[in-house]
Amino acid sequence: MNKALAGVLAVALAGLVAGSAMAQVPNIQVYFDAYWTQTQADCPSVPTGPFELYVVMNNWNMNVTAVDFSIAYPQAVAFIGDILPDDPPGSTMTKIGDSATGVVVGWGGCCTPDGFLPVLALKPFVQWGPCDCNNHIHGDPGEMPQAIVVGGYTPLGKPTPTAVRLEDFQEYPGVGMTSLICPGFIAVQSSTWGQVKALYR
Amino acid sequence: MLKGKYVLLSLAAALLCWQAVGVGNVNSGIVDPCKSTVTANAGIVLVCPFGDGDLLSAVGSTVTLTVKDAADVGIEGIPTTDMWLVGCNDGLLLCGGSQGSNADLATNPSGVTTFTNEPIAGGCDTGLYAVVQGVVIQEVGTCLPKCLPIQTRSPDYKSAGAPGPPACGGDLKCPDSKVSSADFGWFVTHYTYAGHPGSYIACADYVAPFGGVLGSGDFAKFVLHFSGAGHKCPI
Repeated sequence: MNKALAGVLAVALAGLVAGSAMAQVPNIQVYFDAYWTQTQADCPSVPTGPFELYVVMNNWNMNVTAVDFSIAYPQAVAFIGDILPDDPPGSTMTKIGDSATGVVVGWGGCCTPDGFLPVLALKPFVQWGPCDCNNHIHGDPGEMPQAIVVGGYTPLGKPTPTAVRLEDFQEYPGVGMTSLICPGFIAVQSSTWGQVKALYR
Repeated sequence: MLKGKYVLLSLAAALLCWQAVGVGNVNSGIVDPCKSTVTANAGIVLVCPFGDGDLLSAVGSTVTLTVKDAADVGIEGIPTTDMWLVGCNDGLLLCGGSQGSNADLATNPSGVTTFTNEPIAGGCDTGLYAVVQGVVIQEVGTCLPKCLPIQTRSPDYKSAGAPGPPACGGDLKCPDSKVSSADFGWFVTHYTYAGHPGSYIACADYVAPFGGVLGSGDFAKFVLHFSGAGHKCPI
């Protein structure tokens, strides 16, 4: 029980501190909003229709021409498909695979993105799955919080996301970030006042 | 009268002597492919029918050609349009014919010129021949065609069909001078993705390190030529 509680807290803390700890390293993060500010979200009490997530490359500090990664979606989010944003405008993007199983995205056309700024790489199209932010039944698959984790391109066994630099087409590794669903939930467990006091003896 | 004849004879003799002395430096102007030489370092380049592939000079594979005649004398002034590169295995489809891979400059007084640009072409080949006035330059000594160890690989590997060449299946090569969805489909068959173990093919391996599996660098380079309307021969 304590291990499960510690695990949930660790995931929650990881999500809270990740934003600052990883701010200076090249990373890929899933955002819940079009302004790329929200890495945490609550699921709605009443299921809504499909919506978009935003996969953004941060701090790569190079001219990017391709990137590969995968996204582990939790039960709370059902993956439908991926949308290529064709960003920057006028560019034409191409991909192989999908974010749920591993995707490689490339830029062409008029221009490639400026990796010295945040770059929108993909817009996964998802809908809420079984999700209840008040669920704190340990061991329940729908237990909250749940994490959306960016990882490496699994078909080629890559442990982390990699991006390709335009000038020499060499690959550079980055960090896959974690976003949270229902982060506000604080895990609890029933106890007695006596048991609490016993902790401090 | 007699004096005039002596003068004429003397002039004729002088002319003969001058020609005899200078014969070693006079060329016939006819290319001897077995006396001519061509050299280049080994390399691998991406070629594109749009002409924006990898420069031969950028990978250290500039081709140096010395055109000589039967007397082993360099031939000066052969125009660039008379010298071009082709695939050793007929694997390249040059954009605009031979002008897709002409030499940089006309031959200099020593008969030398260079090729720093990659062929503007689709297809794939394991080597390059240098051709002068329609004749392939040969290996000195054996007088067999000299294949330069420069591998050329293009994102234009397949044909999209009419009005171009007929489409072809599998890994058969049928470039059509444009990078199209047919080429993307072929590339994807060799790329590893979920549930699909890719199979290596050198003709789609555009970026070092070469060999092994196709990676995101190869994909990135392909996409640059494929995206949008796709690169095509402008002629």
